[in-house]
Amino acid sequence: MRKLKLQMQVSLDGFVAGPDNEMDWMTLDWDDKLKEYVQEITEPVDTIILGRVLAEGFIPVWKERAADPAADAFTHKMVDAPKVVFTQTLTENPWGNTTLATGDIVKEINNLKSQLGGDIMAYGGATFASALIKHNLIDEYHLFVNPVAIGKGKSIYGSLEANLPLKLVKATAFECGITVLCYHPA
Amino acid sequence: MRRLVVSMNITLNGFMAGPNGELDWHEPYWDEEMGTIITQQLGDADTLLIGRNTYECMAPYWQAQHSDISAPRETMDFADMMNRYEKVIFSKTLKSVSWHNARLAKRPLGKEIKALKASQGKDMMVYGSGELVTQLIRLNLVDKYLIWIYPVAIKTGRPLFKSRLNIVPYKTKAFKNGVVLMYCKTKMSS
Repeated sequence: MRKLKLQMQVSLDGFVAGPDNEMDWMTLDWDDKLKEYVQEITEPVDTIILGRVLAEGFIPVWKERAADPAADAFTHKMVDAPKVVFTQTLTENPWGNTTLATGDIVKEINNLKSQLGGDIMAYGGATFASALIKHNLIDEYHLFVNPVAIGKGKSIYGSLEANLPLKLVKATAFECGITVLCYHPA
Repeated sequence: MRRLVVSMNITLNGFMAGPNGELDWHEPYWDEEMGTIITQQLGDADTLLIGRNTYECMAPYWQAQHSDISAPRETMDFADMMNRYEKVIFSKTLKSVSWHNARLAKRPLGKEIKALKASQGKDMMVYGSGELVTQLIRLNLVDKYLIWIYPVAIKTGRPLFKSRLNIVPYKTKAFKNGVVLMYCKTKMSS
C-alpha cells in the first residue's frame, strides 16, 4: 500500500495561512539541512495530490520555475510528477500531466493508495488538507512549524469531529528557525 | 535582570484549552520524564505569576499536595516549590488571597512586572493564566517561552496567541510520550 504524506507550512499556532490567505509569515530562507530533509521525504514520491485552489497557483508557478535552465531536480520533479487535483467544481482539465478527482475523497485516495507506485505527497491547500485529516487518510505528517504565531487564519483541523491524537515520529529543529514535526496516525 | 518565563501546554493547533476550558486532551500525557524537566525548570525560578482563574484552581490543589505524605518525591519537590515560592496574583476582583507567600498585585501589570524584574531574584514563572499571558504578550514583557506542543489537535478552543508574534526557538526536546517542548526567546531579548 502506498503511503500518503502531508507536507505543510504551519504557524506556531497551527495555521496554514492568514485569514485572507496571507503567507508573509513564512520563513523562506531555508538552511541546507532543511533542504536535505525535504529532499529525503520527496525522493520516494511519484505522485502529487492537490486541492483545486492550491493547484491553480502551484501548477503554473512550478512550470515557470522549471523553465529556468538553472532549475534544480526538485523543481523538475514538481512538474514531472503526475498530479491528481481534487475538485468539486472543475469539469474540464486545464493542466497537462494531471488528472482530476471528482468523486468521494475517501474512495479516490484509497484507490490511489492501492495502485502500484511510490509515495503520494499532499501539499494542501487548507480545505483539501482539512478533508484528508478529517477522514484520517494521511499516513505521515510533516508539519513545518514556522517561528511565528499569527493569531488567526486558516486551519487544517477545523473539520475534525473529535480530538485527533497523533504519534510523534520525530521533531527536528533547523537553524533557519523552522521545526519540523513528523507524526503518524495514533 | 530576572526573566519572565511563560510555560504553556498547547495542542497542535495552538489551543491551551478547549472552548470551555477543557484539558482532557493533555491529561493522558503526564509522565515522569516530563515531570522531571518541569521540576528542574521550576527550580530555576523563585516566583510565580498567576492569574485569578488559575490561582483559584492551583491554591487548593497544591496546598492539599503539601500535606499528602504519600506523594512521590518528585511531586513533593514540585509541590514544595509551588507552596514555598513567592506568588503574585493578578486579579481585578479578589480582595485577598490565602496561600503561603502569596500576595495580590497592587500596581498595574506593567509597573508590577518592571518592579519585579528590577528586584533581585531568579526567574519568574507563569503557568496557565491565559488572560494574564495575553496581557504580558501585549505589553511585550515575556522573555522566554516554554511551549509544550502536545501530539493532538482539537476542533476548537482557547488560543494562546491572539495576534502575531515572532519567536526565536533555540532548543527542542521530544518526549517519549510524543510531547515536543520548544524553548523560545522573544526577538527583543535575543
